[in-house]
Formats: sequence, C-alpha cells, structure tokens
Amino acid sequence: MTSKKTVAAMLILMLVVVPAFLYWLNASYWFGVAGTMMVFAILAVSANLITGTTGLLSLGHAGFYGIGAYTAAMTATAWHWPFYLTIPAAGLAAAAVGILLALPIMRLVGIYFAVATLAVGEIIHVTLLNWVDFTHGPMGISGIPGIALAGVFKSGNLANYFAGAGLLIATVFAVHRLTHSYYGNALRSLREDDQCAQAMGLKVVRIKTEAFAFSCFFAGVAGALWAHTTQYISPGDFRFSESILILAMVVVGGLGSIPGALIGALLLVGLPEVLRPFGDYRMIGVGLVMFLCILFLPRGICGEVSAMALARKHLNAAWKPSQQLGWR
Amino acid sequence: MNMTTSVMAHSAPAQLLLMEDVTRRFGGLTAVEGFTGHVGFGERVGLIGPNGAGKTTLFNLITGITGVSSGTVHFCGERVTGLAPDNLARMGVARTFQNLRVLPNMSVFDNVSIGALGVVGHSPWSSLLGRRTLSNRISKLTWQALERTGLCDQAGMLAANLSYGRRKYLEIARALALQPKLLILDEPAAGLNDTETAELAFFIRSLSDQGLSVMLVEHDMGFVMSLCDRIMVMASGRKIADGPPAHIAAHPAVLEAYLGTEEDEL
Amino acid sequence: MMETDFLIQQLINGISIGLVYALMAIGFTLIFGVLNVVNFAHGEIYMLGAFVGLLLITTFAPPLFVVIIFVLAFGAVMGLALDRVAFRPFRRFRDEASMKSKAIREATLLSSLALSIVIREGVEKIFGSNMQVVPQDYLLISPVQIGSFSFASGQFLIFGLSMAMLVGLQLLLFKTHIGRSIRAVASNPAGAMYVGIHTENVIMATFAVGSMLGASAGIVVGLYQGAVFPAMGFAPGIKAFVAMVMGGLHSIPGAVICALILGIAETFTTSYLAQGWGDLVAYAFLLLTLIFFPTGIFGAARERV
Repeated sequence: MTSKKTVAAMLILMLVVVPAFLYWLNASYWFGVAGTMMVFAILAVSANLITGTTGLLSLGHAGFYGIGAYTAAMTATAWHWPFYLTIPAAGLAAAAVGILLALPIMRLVGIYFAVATLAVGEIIHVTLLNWVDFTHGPMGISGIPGIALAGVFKSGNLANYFAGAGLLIATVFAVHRLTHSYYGNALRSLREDDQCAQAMGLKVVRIKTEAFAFSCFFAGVAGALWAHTTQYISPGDFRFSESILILAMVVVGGLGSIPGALIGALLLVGLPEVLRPFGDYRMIGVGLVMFLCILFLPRGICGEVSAMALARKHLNAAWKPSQQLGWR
Repeated sequence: MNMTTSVMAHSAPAQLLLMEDVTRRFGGLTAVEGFTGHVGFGERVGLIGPNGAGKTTLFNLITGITGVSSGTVHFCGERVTGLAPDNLARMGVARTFQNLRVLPNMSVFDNVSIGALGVVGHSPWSSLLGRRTLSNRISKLTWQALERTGLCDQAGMLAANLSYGRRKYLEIARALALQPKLLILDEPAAGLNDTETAELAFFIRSLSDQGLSVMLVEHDMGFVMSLCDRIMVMASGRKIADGPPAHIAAHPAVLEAYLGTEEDEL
Repeated sequence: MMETDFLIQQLINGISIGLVYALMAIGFTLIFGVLNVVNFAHGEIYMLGAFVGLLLITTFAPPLFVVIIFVLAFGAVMGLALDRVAFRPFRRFRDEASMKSKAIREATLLSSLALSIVIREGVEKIFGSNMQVVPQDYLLISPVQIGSFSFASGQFLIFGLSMAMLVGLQLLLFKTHIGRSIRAVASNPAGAMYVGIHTENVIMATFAVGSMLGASAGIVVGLYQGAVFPAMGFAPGIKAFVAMVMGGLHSIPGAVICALILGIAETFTTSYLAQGWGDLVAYAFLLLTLIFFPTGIFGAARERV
C-alpha cells in the first residue's frame, strides 16, 4: 500500500508543482495535455474497478464516457446548468443507463459479458451518431460553457486544471475506499471465483451491478470534465477504439491496481505527446504495447496480482500481533 | 405421509435438513430418484456410494447448484427447494469443495472473510462512508473462524502458500465464518495421510460437539464409519440403506452395490 | 405489385449481404469450435483480403478468378500467421483445465484484439483511411435484369462463391481426413490428442480454412460495393460473431442461417430508416440473443465460459 508520505508528495506535485510549472510555461497546449491525462486517468481508474478488481471485462466503457459528456453538454447548453450541477448529473445519467443495461446482461459470464458490453458501447455510439434531432449527430455539440463560477473565478487553463485534479482525487479516493475494504474483498472474490463466492452467500449479481454502476458513474464524470474543458464534443470521441484505449491503460498498468491505472493513463496519453513525431502511430503503439503486455507481463506493471508476488516473500513470516489484518 | 409431515411442520421442525422424494433427471438420465432422507440436529451423517451413484448430484441439489425435477427439500422447517446457493448459504447451509476452491491470490484472512461477508452482507455505501458496523462484525466472525480451525498464525499468509492439508482447514474456516447450522463436507479426507485423516476426524467431532450438524460425502470408508452417527448409502440414484455404521457394514444391499452379488463372485 | 417487388428486391439484397456474413461466420465458428477462442482479428483478415486483391488488380490486372484464387491463398497464409502470433503463445498449457480457463480465453481475446488494432492502424498508415478506388472493369455492379428484378453481377458472384465454399467445406469436413480431425478436435480437444490427432496441425488447418473464407468474402464485397478501406473489417467481424452466437456457437448451419437473417434484417432496416441504424440491428440482435436465448436460437446448451 502506498505510504502516506508518497501520497502527500504526489498531491503536492499535482496541486502545486505541476500547475505552477505549466502556468509559467504559459502554453495552453500542455495544459490541454494535462487535462486529457486527467480525464483518462479517471476513466482508467473507473475501468479498473470493474475489470481489474471485479474481473468483468468491459469493452464498452467509452459509451458511458459519452453519455456523461453529452449529458453535461446538453444540460449546460440548453438549460445553462453550472458545472457543479452538470458533472454530478452526468455521472448519475451514466450510472442510470449502466444499471438499466447491466440488469439483463449481468448474468452473463466471461467473454459473453465482454461482447455484450461491446454491443452496448456500440449501440450508444450509433445512437449518438444518428439521433440527429437530439444529439446533433456527427456535427457534435459546440460552445459548451467552461468551468466558471460567477464572481469567484472565470474559466481558463487553471480552472480546468484544478477541476480535473479535484475530480481525479475524488475518484481515486472513492474507488480506494471501495476496493480497500471488505467490500473490496467481495469484489475480488468475484474476480477469482464467482461460483464459489455465491456458494459462500455473496449476492453475486447484485454486487456486480453495484460495481458496474459505480464504474459508469465515474466514466460519466470524466465525460462531463471532457465536455467542459474542451468545449466541443462529437460522437467520434466515444468509439470502440476509446474503449480499447482505456482497457489498454488498465491492462498495461496492472489489473486491480489504482496506481497501475494511473500509470497506464499517464503512459498511454503522455508518451505519444512526448514522442510527438510518433504521436500519429498512437493506436498502433497502444495495440502493440497491449499485446506485449498480455504476452509477457500478464499482470501489468504493478498489478495487484503481481504485487502479491512481492508481498509473498514478506507475508510468509508468521503473523505478528501488531500486523493489521482485515479492514477497519 | 403427507398428513404426518404437515402436522410436524406446525411444531418445531424435527429435522434440520429433510429431503422428500427428491428426483433429478437430466434429459433421459435419472441421476437421483425418489431420495428421502434427513440430517437431524447435532447429527453427523455420512453419504456414501460407489461412483456414479448420484452423490454429487444430490450434493448439488442440497446446496442449490442444480434444481430438483420433483420432490422437496426443507431446511429448519422451511421449504428451500429451488433456492439459489447464496440464499441457502445465508440460511445456514455451508459447504466445502472437493477440489479446494480456495482463492489463491488472497491472504488466508481475506479468504475466510468471504464467508463472513456472505452472512453479514456489505454495502458499497458502508465502505464509502467509512462506517464500521458491518466491518467490525465481519472481522469478528473471521477471527472466530480462524481460531476454531487453528489458522490464526497463518492468517497473513497467501492462500497459495498453504500446504494441502492446511488448505482443507481454510475451506472449513471459510464455511464456519458463515455461522452455519449445517456443514456439508465434500470428500474432506481425500488426499490426506492416516495421521491427517485422524486429526481431521477429531476436529470434525469437536465441531459437532459444539452443536454443528455435519454431513459428509466421502469415499474413505474407515473415516466415515468411525466418525458418523448414521450413514446413508446411495447406488444408481437411489437410497439403498440408512442406519448406524454397524448396520451399514453388514447390510446386504450395500455389500452388493460395492462388491457385486454372490453370483458374480463365482 | 410494386410493394411486393420492392420487398423481394430487398430480400435478395439482404440475402446477398447475409451470404457474405455467412462466409465470415463460418470461419469464426470453425476457429471457435476448435480452439474455443474468439478471433477478434477475423474482420481484419477480411479487410486484408480486399486490399491484397485490389493491389493485385491495380498492379497486374489479372482475370477475376485469378484474383480470387490469389486472395484465397493469401487468406490461408494470413490465418496461419495470425495463429502463430496471437494464439499459439497461449497454448503453452496443454491440460484440460487450462484449455478451458477463463483467463486464457480472455487473454487470447485481448491479444487478437490488440493485433487487430495494429493491423488496421498499420494499413491506415500505409494507404490512408479513405476508400481506395476500384478500377471500373472490376466493379461487379453491372446490372442484370431478370423479370422485374435487377441484380448486380456481383450478387451472382457472391451467391456462386458462397455455394462453392459451403459445398467445399462440407466435403472437407466430412470426406477428408483433416476434416474429420477438425470435427474431432472441436468436440473434444483433449480426447483428440489422446487418440493421436495432431491438434497443432488441425488448429493450423482450421485457421487457414477459416481465413480463406474471410479473405475471399472481403475481396468480393470490396468489388461489389466498390468500397475498400481500412476500417471495413470491423462491422462484418462483429456481425459474424453475432451470427455465430445466435446460431448456437458450435453449429455451422446455425451460423449460416442466422447470418442470412441478420443480412435481411439489416437491409430492411437500412431501407426504412437511415443508413446508420442498420449497424444497430446486429448489436441489438446480439444483446437479445445473449439475454433471451442463452443457448442460441438453434444451439445446444452453452457452457459457462
């Protein structure tokens, strides 16, 4: 588990050092990159909850990302809702659709569930693309208001940055609470052997649906963040390839690990930017990296399961009374 | 028969687990036919029979993994025919698995906590808001189960690192965390040497002395004969004998099922 | 009178598309039956078949049947390569439990998915994402009038090719040694191994045959619709999968029938609603099948995957 010092250091880095540096650089472009990183970090953490921790392979995550984005965009442009209303609304809308669609498919297992989520994601994308009266179709929605609070701060690079940082911290905190608890044990037991979990009295379908709903909620929040910070969205942002990108971040970073999801997001968004000339080859890179990881690093860079291998050496020692077991 | 059982149902249930005329068909194959049997309160009951007798199917029927084609199952006087496994587990029917379905990538403690989670339940909101009520109960049940099975010292170990014998106790601990009324063990003595088998028998006896009813499905005759108060014998999907060990050991139908008839020996 | 004619015309168009999906679905079902894995890169084989065929046409302009034969051969090679790269590394484990293991299955799904992305993006980098121009001579759209119905010559080719493939496949599976081996491995991989069937060869053969079907479907559709572009494999790939699931997973005839149903449903949806909604049909069918027909519409019981 990450120590308190590391967490504090990372928070300082994220909330003080980086924004100061970017502000000094005064380059909107790099603020944009940071913003994208944060959106995808939230997406990766939420995908990790359902795929990494609970073990349900979801291939349609971008669909819920899209529902959140469109909810925020439409409530902001049509009803002039401020960001602190659109963002929760986006999360709730995505979660609601998630639950609605999850109920019939939650009893499916393994690859059937995966393909069902693929179908769901595609249905959402095709609907966004073709229901022109409602969503403006391929033209997308432009002129989405930024993140501003009248009289307190106006929209701009810093506002976007801190909104993103705040949402990312909140997401990580919430998902951490969920996974580092007995509830997390329940989720992991579903990943490892859900038939056995059911024989032990766990309400498997209900827990899977809950995890899915939370995962969709945060994806929706990420979508709202995207909508407000880029101020233009179109169905092309929420296709199958985005779902795969998010999945790749989780796989590369390590299944079941929040730090892993964050690292995965940073790498897969950051590397193409840093290696700008190769940026156009991003998706090829994504595919290759994912392929190599599955082959050689099945547990990712710091996956929960691989971290356990390290822990094995330490935990082989006899139990000491001071060592804390179980969750508070 | 029906009158008697309905009269019995109005008073306190006479049996913990009651199976009446249970039949299970798979297409053209009848795996279990007209099985009537019971497990009484505080009893240690064995279920034996040659391969293909239908023991596994009956086991699955009791634990809710398959449904019955006809017949009823009652637990603590309540009708449980057709309930899902998690329902049954929460009602107090806990089981172990023959092929030891332990979660290898989690610690011993976390493995046992799954049983506790099953009976206590948990909600994501509880975790999000940091409420401790449910967590405390789960911790308590988990430690109790670990103590009963002598696994406290190894609670922090990864389940994958446990020896085969200790893993059996882990499965039992996980089942005990459910605070069950009936513990069903699926071939618990499989793969154990004589010493370990004797220790296990002693342990199971101590569990049932504490009031837990136990049902064993087993192939190891010596183990079953020495441990169980009563033994039910199945062959070809039917119950062919039901009685104390001495009675079963001499029962002609049982001998025939296992050894063939006298004519075959000629 | 006009209404019925229109309906029948749409039916014919639907069947043509359905037959293409059927060719893809057969390849999918073969591979799934033998290996129990979903080959996510199948759609890319279809696309590569179209591209390679087109390259051949623009470079050498050979007669059509030469193109098709070449594409068939190329498809077989591509299939073998795909197996080698994306699937074989996960066959390290030969025991029964591993073969059915959920983790291995998901890993191969992801690896073939990853590979499909690499292939698609690679082709896009080389050729650009726009549609390639198909030379006029090769476009199979010359109309043929029969009574009050008009057919495109391409539809005859699709029909003929599909029939030839289906017949050929039946002959292969039931009259040849390798075909019997394929069926054996499909019904019981471990058992087949114990009886001395060289499963590795069978798997390679299955990939070769399945990919041949897919690649040929690609070039024929490319010429018929005049549209060859890198992303053309994704949707047919999904539809092949849908047809397989609807057909009950292990049934080739089931997959073919469901592919036809899918093609017809899609054509009707496209003509009565806008173009884009046609794709939705396949996804909706998939969800409905998964939810309401756990055994497929024609299939036997589905195992827990």
